[in-house]
Amino acid sequence: MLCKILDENKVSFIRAETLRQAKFDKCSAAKSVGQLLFDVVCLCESDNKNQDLEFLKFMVPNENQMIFIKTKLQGWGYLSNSFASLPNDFSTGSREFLLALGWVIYQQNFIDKIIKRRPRPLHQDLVKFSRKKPDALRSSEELTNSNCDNHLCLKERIQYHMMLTGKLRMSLRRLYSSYQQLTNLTNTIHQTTEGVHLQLGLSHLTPLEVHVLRYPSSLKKMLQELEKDNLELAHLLEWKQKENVFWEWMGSVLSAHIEDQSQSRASSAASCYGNALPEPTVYLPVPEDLGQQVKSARDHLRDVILRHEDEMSRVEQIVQGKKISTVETEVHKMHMDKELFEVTLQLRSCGIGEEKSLHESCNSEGTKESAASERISTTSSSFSGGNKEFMSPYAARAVRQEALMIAVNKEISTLKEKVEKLQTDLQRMQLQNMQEVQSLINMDKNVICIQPRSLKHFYE
Amino acid sequence: MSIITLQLGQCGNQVGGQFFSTITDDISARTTGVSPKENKQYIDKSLETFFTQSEAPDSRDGSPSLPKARAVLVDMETKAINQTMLQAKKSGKWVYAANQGFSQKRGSGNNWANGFCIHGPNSQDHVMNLVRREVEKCDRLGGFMSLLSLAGGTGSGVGAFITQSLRDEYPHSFILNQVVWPYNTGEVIVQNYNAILTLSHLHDTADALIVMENDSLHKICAQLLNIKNISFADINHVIAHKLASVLQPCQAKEGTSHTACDLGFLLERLVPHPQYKLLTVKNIPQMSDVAKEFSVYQWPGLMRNLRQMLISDAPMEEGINWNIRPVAFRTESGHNCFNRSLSTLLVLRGRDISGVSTDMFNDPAIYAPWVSSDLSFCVAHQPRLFCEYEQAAALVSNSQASVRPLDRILSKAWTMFSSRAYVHQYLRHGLSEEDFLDSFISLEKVVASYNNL
Repeated sequence: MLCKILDENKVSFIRAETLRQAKFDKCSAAKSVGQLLFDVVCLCESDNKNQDLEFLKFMVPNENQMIFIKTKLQGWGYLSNSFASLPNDFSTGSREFLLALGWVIYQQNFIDKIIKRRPRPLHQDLVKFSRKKPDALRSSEELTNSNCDNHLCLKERIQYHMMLTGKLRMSLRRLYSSYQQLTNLTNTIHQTTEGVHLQLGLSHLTPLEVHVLRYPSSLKKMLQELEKDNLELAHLLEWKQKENVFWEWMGSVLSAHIEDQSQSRASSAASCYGNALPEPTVYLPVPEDLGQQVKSARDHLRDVILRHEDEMSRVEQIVQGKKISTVETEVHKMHMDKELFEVTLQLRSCGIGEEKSLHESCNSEGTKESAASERISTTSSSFSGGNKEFMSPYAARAVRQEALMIAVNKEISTLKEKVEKLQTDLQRMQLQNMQEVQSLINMDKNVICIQPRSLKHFYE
Repeated sequence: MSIITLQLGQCGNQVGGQFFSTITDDISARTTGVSPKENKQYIDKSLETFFTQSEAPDSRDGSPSLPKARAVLVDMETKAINQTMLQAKKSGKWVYAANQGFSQKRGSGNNWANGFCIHGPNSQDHVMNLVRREVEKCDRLGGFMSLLSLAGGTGSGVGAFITQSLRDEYPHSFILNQVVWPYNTGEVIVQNYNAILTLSHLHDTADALIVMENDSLHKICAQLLNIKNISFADINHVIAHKLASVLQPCQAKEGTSHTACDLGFLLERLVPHPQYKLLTVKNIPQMSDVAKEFSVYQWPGLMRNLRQMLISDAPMEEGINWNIRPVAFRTESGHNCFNRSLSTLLVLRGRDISGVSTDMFNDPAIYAPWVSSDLSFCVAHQPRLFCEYEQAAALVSNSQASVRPLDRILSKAWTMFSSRAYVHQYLRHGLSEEDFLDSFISLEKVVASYNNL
């Protein structure tokens, strides 16, 4: 019964005999029951997420089917160790599959979903109805064929891709105009059939209805489809009535399973007693090293706690210390204020005293300085007089510097005088020598003397 | 699926009139070569594409009303439009819809700037209204086909402007421009300027340009059709024949499924690359009506000729240079030794087309190296005879063929421009020298990219 429904609704094809075999955990049935389970799970999943069924099936590669099933089932809450430990190649465990199947059918309201998905032949699209078979998409092999030009250089590849993009753009435009045409024509049909209607809620005929009216031969096809649909719906109704039979049978499967399990446990307990425990079941969707991860995470947490324990205790101590000293701080504060006040007072008095002493020292310095400057030069009398009394240290320093400068200048001028005096001496001596030479020349007539040019001016 | 034709300028209007009468001639041909039912389908499809038909019979005598061309006629002078409309009415097979023409009193005086900057903006609203009226009559707008010449002022100037407006108004539509290349020796002194300005603008806005060279058309008339005194009507006849042979209904085979080879399909196959938009059409065989009855052709021979026409860039099947071979060798300047293509579309019409081998067009050697074989070549079939030809093949190619004349025009225009000859005529109407330079640059780019194919 279930098989018929499944087949009719394009979910999967399976024979009742196979299910019966699965009840007795025959390995031969595992493959097909597993496939069935996959299809059922896919359908539920696509329904939950509103995805395309074909697309979903296409997305899951064959070798991952089992993993997909386990992930989904555990996501929905089917946590059976023995199911999770099944191998991934559909080789054994047909009864486990069967149990899981029963669980999914009940838990996900599988039959309701099927009913919801059913296409309604009266409302289907005209295009779907009139076309015999949908054009199969180009096979992937053909697609790879056109993609085999990896030997091109970059520039050429860019050109090629530009071309493909352009083609795509053109195709989109064509598609767009076709869609416009479809809309346009549908609108025309709706307008011209205004007032006649076969369906509630519409005031016009649909394109499909017009098509059937226009070509009566297609009525036969329509009738066939409706009859088929009727039959399928009747089957679904029947299922609703006889559902309990299936569940009773499922119950028997479950009891057989439990019986088996207890037997095997007893036997394994008898045989493997003292041996190592049986291997822990692999819980697939969870990563393999989960235990390690948990352990490392725990270690890490402990480390962090240990590392920060000292700091925490210190912080606690500080907090406690703070608590105790709140009273003391008040006292300290008062003490501090008092001291501060005294110090300021002292400072003030000190300040006055210092001011006085500063004045005195400044004065004395000023006098000393002025004395020195007077000693060096009698002309520098700028700071003799009344302002001598009130002189800041800066002024004093300036005065000192000025005095020094004057002294230096004086020295320089004396040196210059000396140089000048020496030069005049030199000139005088040169002149003297010249005269002596001249007299010598005059004395002897045989000597012709040519004066050096540098000395010429002496003769002028 | 309908194509709206825009007839721009004197040349465009004359070509348009000839185009529609060629199509009606083809539709009403006596020998069809197919069953009446198939013929009916063919006629319906063709009429739907190019004409509108009202269901109501003609009021006077009760006969079904004549098909009306889906066309908008634009010219700045009334003469050409009136003449074309009159000829259409005289044919008794089809008419232009009333009020689908737009004309003014003064022409553009062969000045592109006058058309583009003055007449274009002035007439834009009116013309676009006419276009909208035609578009609303279509179930599905397949695209626009503009017919214009490059030499004149109205066709080129207003045409370029209207094409731009079309692109703005209908951004998702297909726009095909058929341009008539002026004679080398030229009737108009500024034709090179006009051509340069038009081409550069159309290359930016239109999806594809079908190039028809007056010189080669003239040769076809003289040698194949044996016409002594060649008039523009004869040349237009050849243009219309070429266009119709491509655009009449046919089925393209793509993979396992058949799709109608409509304008969108044509452009999708031929001009997917935005930098390559120049198309040329080569027909085989072409002959006068008298010779048609006495000639017998075989498909393999026709295919061989057509392929060599493609490779050697010959306008017709006589006088093909058979020495040119598709070799990978290039000259020192980087030019190919033969006419290399980006993509081609072969339309076969007539008897026994199912057995025709088209493998020789699938040779990757005649295409650019980076084009994969499924993009480069496509073939379309139509078992119905075309214009009573037993066999007819039309090859539309996106190839280097149009580069040579373009290069020639460019250099001529540049020589003129460098001495600023006649430029003031254009500046007077609001064009600047930068516009000239931009056009030169964009066309030089086109030439360069075709040369690098």
